[in-house]
Amino acid sequence: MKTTLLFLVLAVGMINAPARAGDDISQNEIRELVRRGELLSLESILSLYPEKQYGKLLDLEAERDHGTVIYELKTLRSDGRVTELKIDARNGSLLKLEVED
Amino acid sequence: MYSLKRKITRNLTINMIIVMSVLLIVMYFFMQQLLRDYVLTRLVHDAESLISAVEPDANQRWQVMPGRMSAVYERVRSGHYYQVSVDGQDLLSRSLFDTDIPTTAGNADFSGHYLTPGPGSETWLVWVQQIRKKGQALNIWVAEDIEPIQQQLRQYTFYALALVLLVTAILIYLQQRILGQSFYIFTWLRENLSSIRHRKAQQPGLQIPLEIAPLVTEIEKLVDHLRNRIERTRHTIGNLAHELKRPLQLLSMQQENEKNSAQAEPLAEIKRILERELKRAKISGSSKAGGDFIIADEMRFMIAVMEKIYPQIEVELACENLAEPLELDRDDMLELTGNLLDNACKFASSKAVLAIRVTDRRLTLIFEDDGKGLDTRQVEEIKQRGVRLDETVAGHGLGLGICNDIIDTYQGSLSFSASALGGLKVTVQIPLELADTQYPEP
Repeated sequence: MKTTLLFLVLAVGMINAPARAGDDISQNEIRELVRRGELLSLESILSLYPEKQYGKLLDLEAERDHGTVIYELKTLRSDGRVTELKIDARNGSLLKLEVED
Repeated sequence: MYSLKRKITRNLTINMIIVMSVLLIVMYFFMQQLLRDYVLTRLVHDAESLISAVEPDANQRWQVMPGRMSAVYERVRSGHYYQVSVDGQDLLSRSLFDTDIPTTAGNADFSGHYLTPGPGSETWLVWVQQIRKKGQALNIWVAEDIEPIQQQLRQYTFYALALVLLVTAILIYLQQRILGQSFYIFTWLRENLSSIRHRKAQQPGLQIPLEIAPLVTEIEKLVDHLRNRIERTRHTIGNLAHELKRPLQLLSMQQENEKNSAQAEPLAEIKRILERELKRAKISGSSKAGGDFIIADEMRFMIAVMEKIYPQIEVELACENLAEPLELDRDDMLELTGNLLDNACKFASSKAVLAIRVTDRRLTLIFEDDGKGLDTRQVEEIKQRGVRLDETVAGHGLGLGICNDIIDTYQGSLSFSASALGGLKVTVQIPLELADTQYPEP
């Protein structure tokens, strides 16, 4: 039990990958918009999309689209499929759901 | 009264539950500590990477050099986060996205670790450190979500709990069996005591445990002691009664000579009491472990005696080969059969027959003679006036009083009828399997 757990923790910690490409909109801008209440916080958006149904969040990209901010969520569902969700960051509404084959 | 077995089992169960609970709790905390310590060492390593990766650029703006930190800090909500606070600037890992690490504000000197709830269901273990670099004071926080690990720990603890319960159940079951086997000694002891009382062959020897040996020895001593005392008492009373008989006879004769009827009553009373006590001494001796009563052997011997006393009478014994010892007191049985056989010989003209039959549950003795017998009226008289009739006529009675007392003790029955031989037929029936409570107490 101990070994499995430690191994797991160790393996995750050893992942080393190059930094990802930047978003259309910087983290600081998003933080500022969330602070001002123009965007929903990520936590409240995620609470609208439960993990059981939409899968575990892998990563997120923020895009600017005609003045609105759209989150592109990549999730991994329990059936092993990677899903892409496009969500309006202002109100959390789902714009597009794409299950990759 | 309480059950020793139940008490031992209950104590064991309680102790097991306490010990196992303490073990489980201690194990849980040790495991938790171990896991946190492990995560913490990694957080410290990452903090060191962060310290080396954070640099001011040409504009004196601090930044974390790209590609220096692990990719998990780049994925949003990956469970790994950092935050650097320098010169009024906050550098956040991309994984934090729009949240912050709850910092210990107002305690800038704090260096160490703490737990804090993160967004969603996350629980963060935070490592905080103060350093100086390039003339600036830097506050560094590195956090990791330990909820998945803790969840796993809870799950394994649950498995451990199930295992502990199973082991406890098995141990209790095994202990019950061991106890049951150990307590068999008491069953053995009780059966042996009962054997002594019923004069059965004793159970084959058992290895007596050290703890019980003194008790067994004491019981054996007590049984011996009781046996001796009963024999002595019986002997003493027999002697006393015997000694008293002669002076009493003398008194009787004197009283008859003097025709003093006033004395007749008390004398007869004394005689009755004497007879009764003699009988009692014999009947009460039923606990005497006086060996087995093998009825066929005893009867053959008795018939030989009878034939000497009554040489003109032929005594016939009708019985199967009854070699099995009976659970009856030898003295009582000799007294009973002796009396009835003596009567049969006394009233026979040439032949007396003793038939013995033993079934599983009862012993039947039939005494017959070819004498004149009793007519219906006389039989009725005996029945109606009771068999104690003869007791008041000392010396030449039928001895039926004693017989009746013995039969009563064993809860048997006595009946009279006409014999095919011409004389009287006396039938005695004695049940063989008496319940313990009905058995005469010593």
